This record gives sequence, C-alpha cells and structure tokens, in this order.
Amino acid sequence: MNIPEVGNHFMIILDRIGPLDDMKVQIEMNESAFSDRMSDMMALKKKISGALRHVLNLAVEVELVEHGSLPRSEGKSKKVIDNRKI
Amino acid sequence: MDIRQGAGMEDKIIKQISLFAENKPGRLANVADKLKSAGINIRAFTIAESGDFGIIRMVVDNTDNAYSILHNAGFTVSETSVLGIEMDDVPGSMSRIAEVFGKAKINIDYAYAFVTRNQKALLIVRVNEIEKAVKTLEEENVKLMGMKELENI
Repeated sequence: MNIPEVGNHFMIILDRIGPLDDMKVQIEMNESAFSDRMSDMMALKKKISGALRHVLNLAVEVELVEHGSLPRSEGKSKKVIDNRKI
Repeated sequence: MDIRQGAGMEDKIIKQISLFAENKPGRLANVADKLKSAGINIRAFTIAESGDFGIIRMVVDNTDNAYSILHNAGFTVSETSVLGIEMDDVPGSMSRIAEVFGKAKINIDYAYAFVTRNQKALLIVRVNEIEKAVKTLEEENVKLMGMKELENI
C-alpha cells in the first residue's frame, strides 16, 4: 500500500465494541498533505480509509492528528495499541 | 504553499495563514501564545471544524514571520492566497459581490468577513480561480486589498 500523504508516524488502535473488533488509525499530518480546504482534508481521510479497506477488507476509522503528537518508536510493535479485553 | 498562484498580483492578493489543529482543549491557546510571543497581531480569524480536527485560518500583520514561528514550533501550517474584498458597510454590499462571482461562475471555497475601523467591511474569500477572480472584480470596480493596506485597517 502506498499513500504518499501518510508518513512514518501513525498509530493503530484496536478496540472491541460489543462482539466486534474495531480498528482506528491515527495518522500525523504533515505539511505536504495539509490543505486549508476542508473538502481536500475530508477527501484525504476518505482516500486513506479506502486504501486500508481495499488491503485489509475492514472498515477502518481514520483520524488525522497533529504532527509530533504520537509517541516515537522504532519497532512496529509499538505502533499498535490493543485495548481489547479478550 | 502554492507560490505560482497569483504571481505578479501581490498588491491584490492577501496571504492567509492556515493551520491544522486537533479538536482538543488548549490547542488554540498554544497557537495564540506563539503569536503573542512574537508580537504578531491577528487581523481576521476563523476556525473550520470537522469533528476530530479543525483548520484555523487567519490573516495577520506579518504573515511570513507568523508562518516561520508556527512552522518552527512544529505546527502543520501553510500560506494560502486569498482575496480581501473591501465593501461599504451597508446592506446590499455582500449581495453585489456574490452576484459578480455567480455571473462569472467563480466558485467560492470559503469566506469570512469582518468590519474594519474605517466603516468598511472586509470579505476574505478563497476562490478556485484567483487570477480570473481578480480580473473580474477589477472590471466591476471592486476594490481588492493587498497586504500593505491590510496593515492599516
């Protein structure tokens, strides 16, 4: 999957809502992807969630967050927060 | 930042600061504090919100300085070319401008307005075709403000 607007800083948050697992992806904004037009920003969110759905076959909520707001880590394992109580 | 847009039309185009902010308490305070520390005055301001985030749009008295300060502080920020349309502060002024845009088939992306100290109203608009909009408005004798004039309103 290649979405140039998405940089290296993202966080996957897993939750269980009722009987279903829920997946949310927080993605840090960067200046090259930022637009002052709300329609562009909504289109960006839709593009990212569409690409994730295409690859994962899952509905994924995309949340855009500020640059620098996610914890920095080196390993992939730290890019996932699993809040599910199984 | 699109520097090609409106090249050679500096005296008719306003540079707006646009900034990405999460929809959380304290975010605006953080931005405003940076501007305060740099002695930058906000001339016009609006926030467009969309659930989890917002886009802060503002016109300030020193755009380049504001951009550098916010960018260096880690904010996601851009400079956007917009038009500053001067109107008489009387009923019908907005109607006239909107009609000019409508007839010329120029689409408004967003707009915000405020009243100035000299009994005028200023409408700030972002349009899809800024050069066509400048030409059309000038043909209709509509006054456009540049950055220098904006410092004095």
